Amino acid sequence: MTRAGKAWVLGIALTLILIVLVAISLRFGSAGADSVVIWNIRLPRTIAAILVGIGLASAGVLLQGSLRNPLADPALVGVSAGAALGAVLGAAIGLPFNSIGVTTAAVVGSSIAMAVVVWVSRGNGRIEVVTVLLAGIAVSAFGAAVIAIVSSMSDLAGVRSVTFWTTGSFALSNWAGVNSMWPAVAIGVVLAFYLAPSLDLLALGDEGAYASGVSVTRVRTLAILAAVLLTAAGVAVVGIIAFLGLVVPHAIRLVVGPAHRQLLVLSALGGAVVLLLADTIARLALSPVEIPVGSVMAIVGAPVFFVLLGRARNRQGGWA
Amino acid sequence: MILAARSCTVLGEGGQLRLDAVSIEVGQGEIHAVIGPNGAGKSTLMGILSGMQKVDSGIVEFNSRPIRDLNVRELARARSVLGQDLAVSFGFTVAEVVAWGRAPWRGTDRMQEDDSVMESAMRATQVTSLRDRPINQLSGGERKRVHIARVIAQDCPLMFFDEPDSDLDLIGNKELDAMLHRLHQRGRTLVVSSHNLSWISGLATHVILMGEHAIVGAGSTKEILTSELLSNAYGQTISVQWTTDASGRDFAMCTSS
Repeated sequence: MTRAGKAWVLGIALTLILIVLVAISLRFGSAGADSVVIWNIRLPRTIAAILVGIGLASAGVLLQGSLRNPLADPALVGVSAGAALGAVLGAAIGLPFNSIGVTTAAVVGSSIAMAVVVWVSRGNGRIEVVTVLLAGIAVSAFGAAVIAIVSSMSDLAGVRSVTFWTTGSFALSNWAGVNSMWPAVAIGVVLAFYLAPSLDLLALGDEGAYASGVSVTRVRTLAILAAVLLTAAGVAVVGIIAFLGLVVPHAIRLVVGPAHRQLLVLSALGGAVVLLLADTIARLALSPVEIPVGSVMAIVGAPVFFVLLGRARNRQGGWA
Repeated sequence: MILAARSCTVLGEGGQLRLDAVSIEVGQGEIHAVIGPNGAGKSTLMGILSGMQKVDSGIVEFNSRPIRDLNVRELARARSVLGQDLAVSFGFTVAEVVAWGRAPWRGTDRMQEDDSVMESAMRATQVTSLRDRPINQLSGGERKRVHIARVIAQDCPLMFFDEPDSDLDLIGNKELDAMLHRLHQRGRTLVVSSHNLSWISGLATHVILMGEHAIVGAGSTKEILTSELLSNAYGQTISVQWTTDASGRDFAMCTSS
């Protein structure tokens, strides 16, 4: 089957799976199935999981393509930590959670984090693969530390603990949360789709892409900006969920290849499916106790990251 | 005159001289070879002529228009560049990579030619049968042919090849020579840098000889590929022996002694 044929089959399959998952997610839970519970609690939570899944997987595609780095993931490069820190600081100065205000604060925080990571990783006109990840670790540690300090100094911790931010949860996703995130996700997705053909050419390297008519700095800046919007909107409401942006695009690439238009559409769908599945498992597996959804993702994602790391390392002959 | 550089100077980081007031003119349909020892400034000259690198003073003109006035897209319709770094991230197929050559023409009337130009570029470089293979799984020589197909598909009047023969074996070099020759016959203007003086002697119509960040000789191939000029530029005795091969092409055996 051609790649285009596989893309159609995969797209239809993912859509069907998503529909089934939405039905399961709305029907089952610890509180039965009356219409108030479904409408006020499970539906916004389900939509939030879909939006965050779309956002994180698309952000992964954008970061991987624009940094030419298959290991890039919003949480691993520090974008998510910057967003969480921005959201916490926004709340500390009095902005209500699940509002556009906190989302904006998260976007500012993650933009600064990403700017720091990119600035530190630049050398010889390239952005170094390993340095991006190392800088991401430092930015994430810094973000977690400040979140802990701010949380312990204010009464915010009662609602959203440090654990909430570092492992992610949809437990606090209501309609306000959905409304605070969908505009940024929509802008990010449109921007990503527009940039996709140019991201393909970035695979040639900065010089090759420039020689082929791509204005590299502009495309890279816009792609990172879109990734920031897509990540920060979700993190502000549900905290940091790692590995989704890494695992989903990688799996999709194995089936339909790396061309960015298809990769983006299918990763967005795949991200929604995987995260909704993860949240349903988090909710139902040990019901009525809820597992943090970020833990479900990390248990699947960390081993995949090891495989990818090994491959990237082999290709580059080690990073000693 | 398709391309001209007028007293172009380039300074490196820290202000050391990379190119010292070089001037050169390239006529339509000519093949210019850029030669010279390592560090003489070949790559920098290729860089400014192809608009990849900015000049600190002087001007580069494409069809009498300053090259710095062209935006990145217009530039990509004027000239194509085969660089030395040909790594491609992710598993793009041969057909996808060749199609990137058409990117500068997106949204123009010439988009209609996309398929025919790509097909003939792949035929000319003999990569048609590899079209669905990921480029990263190919051998070095095959990969180079795919990238040559890509720059041919870009369909520009002016083409730059930065050391295209650097990692090719004997057969690969012969095929490369034939491909560049065909482009020349179809009226393209080529600028080729290389260390292989004997190969260049049979291909180029003109030679630009670099030495110490400046052009030390520019003119027809026979004028420049002389023992005297080469020996001076390379700092050791180089003997040049012109002969004619079986197909009637003149070429020079250049050997250092």
